[in-house]
Amino acid sequence: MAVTTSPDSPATPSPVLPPRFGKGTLLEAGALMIIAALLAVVAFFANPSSPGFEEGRLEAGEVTLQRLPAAMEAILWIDARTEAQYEEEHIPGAVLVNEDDWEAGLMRFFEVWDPEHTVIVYCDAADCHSSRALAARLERELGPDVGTVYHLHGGWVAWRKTQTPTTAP
Amino acid sequence: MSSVDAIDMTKASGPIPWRMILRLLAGLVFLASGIAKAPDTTRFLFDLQAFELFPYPLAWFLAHYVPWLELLIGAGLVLGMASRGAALLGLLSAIAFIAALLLAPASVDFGCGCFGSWFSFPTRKLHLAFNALLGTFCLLVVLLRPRSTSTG
Repeated sequence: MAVTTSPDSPATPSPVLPPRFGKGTLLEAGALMIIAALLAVVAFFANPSSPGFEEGRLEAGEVTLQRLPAAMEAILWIDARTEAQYEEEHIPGAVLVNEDDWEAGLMRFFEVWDPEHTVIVYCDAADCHSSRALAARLERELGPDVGTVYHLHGGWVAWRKTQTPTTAP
Repeated sequence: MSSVDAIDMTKASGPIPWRMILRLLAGLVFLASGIAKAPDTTRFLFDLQAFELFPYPLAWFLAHYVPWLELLIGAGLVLGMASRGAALLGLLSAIAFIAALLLAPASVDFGCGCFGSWFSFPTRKLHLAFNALLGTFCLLVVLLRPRSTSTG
């Protein structure tokens, strides 16, 4: 039971308590930060799937499957690979548009395009530049109505790792 | 018990071990966060870049470093080892998370990647409130005195 003393009564000396915050706290925090850095270095070299410095860099207009700029149903996928690759497998609902037959590709694009769509181009893999070039050309030739045309980081390979493809259009 | 002790709310001499409860709660959050992120650094790196706040080299560094720091903070808090230092780092982390959430563009969808693919907050306000609560827990762990020198 706590007994309070009146202000007039002699003050009872406070027991010596350990400090709440002091040098020890800072030392603990510093040690944890250093250990975390060592663990991060070890994990980086031990884990082959850790992204290298260039591997994980996103360029302007590039999106990842982990963070798409719109809900899946609002995305119009543009397949920039060859027709043979498209026929074999593609992202459901994707439209084939490539430099091989640009005009026919544009016609297919406008058959399904809606102003509410977010357009994302993909090509074969991460080091494939055709999706980037195609996205730039679509933006240039179709103007502001289409808005930003994104390209998918990792391309078809990234999609294939996480999704079930289809051969149906 | 003296009057000084009676009004010292920070001395955990009561029946409820508040400091231990708070450090366990905060510790489990940090452990979960670190465990979710550490195996998929690539995803966390993409998530960090989506914030559009950090230059790429910093985002790359954070993607590799933060999950391990969170794991150590969580382990320290849960096990009660270096818990005050861990709580201080947890408090600073929560402040950094709040700042990032406030400064990120409104268009960024949250899904912040804080818990990898396990869980994402439906709204930014809820996420801010969660981080504020987490920071408060960590602050109290820093300030409250343990029940003894070896526990709490």
